[in-house]
Amino acid sequence: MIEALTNSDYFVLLMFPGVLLSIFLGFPVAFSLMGMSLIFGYVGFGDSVSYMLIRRVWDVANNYILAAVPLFVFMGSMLEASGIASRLYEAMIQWTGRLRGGMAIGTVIMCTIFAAATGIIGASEVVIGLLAIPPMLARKYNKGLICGTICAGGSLGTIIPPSVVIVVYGPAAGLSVGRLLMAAVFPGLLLSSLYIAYILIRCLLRPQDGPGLPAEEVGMPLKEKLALTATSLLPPLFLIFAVMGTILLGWAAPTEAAALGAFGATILTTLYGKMSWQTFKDACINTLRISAMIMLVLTGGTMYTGVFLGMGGGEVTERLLMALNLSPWTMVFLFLLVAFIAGFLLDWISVLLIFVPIFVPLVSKMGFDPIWFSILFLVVIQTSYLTPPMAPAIFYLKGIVPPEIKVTDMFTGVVPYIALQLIGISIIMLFPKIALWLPEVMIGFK
Amino acid sequence: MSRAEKVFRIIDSISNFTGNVVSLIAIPMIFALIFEVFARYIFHRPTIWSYDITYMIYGTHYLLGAAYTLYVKGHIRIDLIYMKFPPRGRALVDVLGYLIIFFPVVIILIFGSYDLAKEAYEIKEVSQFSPWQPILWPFKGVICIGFVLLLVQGIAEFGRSLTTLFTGKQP
Repeated sequence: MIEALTNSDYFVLLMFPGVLLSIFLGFPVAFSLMGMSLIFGYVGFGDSVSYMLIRRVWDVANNYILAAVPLFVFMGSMLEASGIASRLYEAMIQWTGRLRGGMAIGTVIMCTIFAAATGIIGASEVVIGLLAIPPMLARKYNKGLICGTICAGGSLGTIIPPSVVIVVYGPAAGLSVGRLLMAAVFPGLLLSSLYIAYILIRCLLRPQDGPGLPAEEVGMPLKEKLALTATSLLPPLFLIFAVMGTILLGWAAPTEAAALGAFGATILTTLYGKMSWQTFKDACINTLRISAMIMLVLTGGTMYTGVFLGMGGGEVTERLLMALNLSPWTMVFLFLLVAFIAGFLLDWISVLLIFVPIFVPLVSKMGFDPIWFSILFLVVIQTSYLTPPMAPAIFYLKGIVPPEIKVTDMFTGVVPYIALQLIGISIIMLFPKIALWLPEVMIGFK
Repeated sequence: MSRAEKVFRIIDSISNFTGNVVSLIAIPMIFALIFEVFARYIFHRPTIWSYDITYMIYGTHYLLGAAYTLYVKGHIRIDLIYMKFPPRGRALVDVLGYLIIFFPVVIILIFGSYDLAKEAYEIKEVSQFSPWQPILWPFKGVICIGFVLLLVQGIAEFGRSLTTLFTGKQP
């Protein structure tokens, strides 16, 4: 295996630890990627590296599809400000509260709807957590169950379309964003069903983990209940249609759909009477901060891959893997395992940009459907939100929990959900149609 | 307040100002895209400008916003180890990072994008994406301005880290 490599091959492979060193010392990810691309690119290509890097900046800057990123972020920020979450939560509890574990189930359903109406996690997890944690604590729900549910439910936004992660993933993998969004619909729903099934079974076996609410607390008359559900559920459904519906029906490109969603969310906030100059400005500035962060890491990532592949890194990796003599399926497992482990230590965008441009072409070459592999990879990325120490879902949760919830509750709470993620991945592996069916029927792609 | 810190405050306010202004241009982008959808389905006359306008606004948005994001410490770090360092240790990471990584690459990108914009201006390059064919040098110039702003904010951040490194004090 060692014989397969020459000195310059070793040099290319040094790029990877070089970037990791800089990232783990704590220098911003975007600049670490850019700087290492410059250093290694200069050794590899001399002065022409400058032109190469600026071409990469230009490629990201004129990418129409990536314009969906700020739009989805804006849509999410607006929707949080709309206050729709609290109405929706109230409505959900009216329906599911009586069940054992019903408040947690209601939370998952609400997370699913929120995920289908927005493209980012983070702030939406905060909104949902602030609403759902205090009542569950008051009802003596198991603290681990509370934490796990909020973290896993909050992270659904990365996989259930629309999703900023998918918009960034598409160009990095050289795949159609529209197709990926369609492919992610059922896998996303599968995961949230798994969460619900888990809560049901757990609370059936251990009623003390999630007692049902007494009848008088959820005794809203049916008419009122329906009215509350209609006013809280119809607007998000309308937004979901404005975004995913128009994409699925082929009416709008993902970027246009994102603009419709952003506009719809703004209208909604205005109709709920929550619009003010301050709300609007906050949404704009949040959008700028988050999109500039994402786009700079993305720019650094494309520079990194450009230099890495340009210096033959892709081919070297391929030769290394061939020398290992693994079966194609083992290779898929290996790739997902690498991403899973990286997810403990790195943020989603680094995992995505460092591995996807190398893995996806290899997987296609081995005869697998790249869309199917990508969905598996995206579920792994969603899992990276839950795996500590670098677990954004836990990080957001820490900011909002009351003091009686300890960090250990969070860590033990996410464990069953990480197991559920792995079950979800196995199901999608065994039944690729879960991912591939919708894009096939909607756009006839094979 | 030291004289250097006064200069850094001015830099901060520049980044803050550009960030606040440029954050608003997301709105015309939303309208351009929605107009295009309506023009296509309701008037049956798709626009020729929506595509170019969209990526130009989107590009301007994050390129000019990069400096603001640096100012509010919004560029993501993996801080598992970084947060365990004492303030001076963190300052050392940043000083080295700025010297070895940030300044070289940002300066090269400034020159690179300047050349790109200059070339586009000289040959009167137009966009090949759509029949509208707008001139490209202003947008390419924006890339250059974005990196200049980023460099300037980077100088302020670097200067502060340097102060912390030598005095142990955080400005």
